[in-house]
Amino acid sequence: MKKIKDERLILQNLKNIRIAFLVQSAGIVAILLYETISKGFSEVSDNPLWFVFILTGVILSWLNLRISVDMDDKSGKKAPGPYYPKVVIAAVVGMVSALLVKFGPDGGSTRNAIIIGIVLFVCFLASYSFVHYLRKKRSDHDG
Amino acid sequence: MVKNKVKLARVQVDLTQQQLAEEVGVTRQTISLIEKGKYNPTLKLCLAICYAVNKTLDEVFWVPEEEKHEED
Repeated sequence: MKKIKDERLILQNLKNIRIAFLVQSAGIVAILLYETISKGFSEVSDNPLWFVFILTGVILSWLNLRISVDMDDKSGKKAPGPYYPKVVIAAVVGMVSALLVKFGPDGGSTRNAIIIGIVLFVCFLASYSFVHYLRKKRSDHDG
Repeated sequence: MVKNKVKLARVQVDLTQQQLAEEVGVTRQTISLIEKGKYNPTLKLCLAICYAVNKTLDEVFWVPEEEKHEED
């Protein structure tokens, strides 16, 4: 297939992909719903389709962070705040959840507690850092 | 509806829709839709068209504000 160079057709192509994506998502949701009703939720979360569905959701929300950062321009803050409070928040979240796993009602092992703590710390830090980076880049452009 | 003078400018330099389309790197249908005012081209494409017909953006795409409102 030849590469599309016409801007109008590129746009049309994107719109078509969007429609196809909607149909596909609707199909996945329908299949998962059917499985939930007929076999129960624990079967569904073992289904690879469930993983695909969650992964697309996560990717979409990560990509949409770019949009939300531009949308909340109204707050008036130009430059992003310093970086270290975000690291502290992520560390606190990681530590609290590790302690909850260790001493909470589930009473998990120390190894599990450390793993969960680190995973949550990395997840929070990654998303905070990405937003921080986007805000910083934007304020650099404005300045 | 976005009024413009692409058709006039194109005829003045003796180009067909197909020739203009090839020169600016789009399909003939896109040129046709722009001339009819049914497609809103990007600034990049507008500039390419202007270079192809040896005119300025003003001459090809400028529409006074009052006329634009009448069209809508």
